[in-house]
Amino acid sequence: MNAFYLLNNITPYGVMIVVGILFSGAYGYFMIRKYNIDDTYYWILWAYSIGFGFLGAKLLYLLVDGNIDWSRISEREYAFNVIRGGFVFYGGVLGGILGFAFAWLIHRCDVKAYISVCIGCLPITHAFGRIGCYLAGCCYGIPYDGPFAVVYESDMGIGTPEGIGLFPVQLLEAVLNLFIAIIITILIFHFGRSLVSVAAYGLMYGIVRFILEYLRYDSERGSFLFFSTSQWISIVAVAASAIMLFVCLAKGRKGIVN
Amino acid sequence: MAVASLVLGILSIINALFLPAFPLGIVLSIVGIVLGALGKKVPEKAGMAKAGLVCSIIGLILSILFFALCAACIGGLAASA
Repeated sequence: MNAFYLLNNITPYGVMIVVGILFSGAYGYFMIRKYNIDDTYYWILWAYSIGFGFLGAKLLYLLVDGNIDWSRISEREYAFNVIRGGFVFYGGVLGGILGFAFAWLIHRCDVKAYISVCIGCLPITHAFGRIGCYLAGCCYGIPYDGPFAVVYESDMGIGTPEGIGLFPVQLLEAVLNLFIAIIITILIFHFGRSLVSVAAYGLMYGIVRFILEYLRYDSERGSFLFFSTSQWISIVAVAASAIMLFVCLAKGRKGIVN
Repeated sequence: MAVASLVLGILSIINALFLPAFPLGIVLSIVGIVLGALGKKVPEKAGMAKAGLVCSIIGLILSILFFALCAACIGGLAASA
């Protein structure tokens, strides 16, 4: 199986991921040029965030997915299929943060300056990824027959419920992510190189994700006590972001540059 | 650094085109991007470093695209089996 075979069997999922990465890359490049930040470390951070992000998203998927038969993991074909399986968004974010920490340790670059003006890349990539999910039939919503309900004619190869109306939670999340990206961009233009934009993103997405989890119907995600894994991470993200926002605004009032 | 970046960028494109199921191209292209970005700082090698950076970025994009397509394709084959 080579690239030419794959191009004949092209699926919208991979295309949407790549479109998202390209769009967010262009957005980030525009932002660093606007704020006169050197592009040398931008490309390094971009590469690390993609690499570590994919790794983190995969590792969290392996941790929370209860359907993996670990006794068969030594079988080559089964192991390959597990590696090629799903991803968890929050794992990607945690991986990206580790990637930035790694970049700071190795290159001693001003990671904070890049994150503060490029944080909008994250919701943009995520929005396109969710459109890919919608087209691929994964991460689907609860049964629903109202306006915009989606009906998948087949199980799409991944066990999607066939022939029933589902809430288009992927599209709703995509729209909300783009909305968050717009608000963050306005905040960056207002506050400049400040971590206010990062805190605002954590706060807004944490709340959105916590609520949207109730509209999800796919069962391949872990849960603990009353909430799913993503809801627990959302609670931590909202609390940490609220503290960060408070500290940033307090520093701003005292005239300290964040 | 510039030469290494260019070599890694080309290798990652070849890997993406002919062995898309193996994510080795993602690792090669990331190392290529780092070396290319750092290599731009040396004025004599800046041109080659930029070429290496561009090749590595293309290699990374292709690696992700074909890896994702490969995953979807194998999922489809498994379902139809």
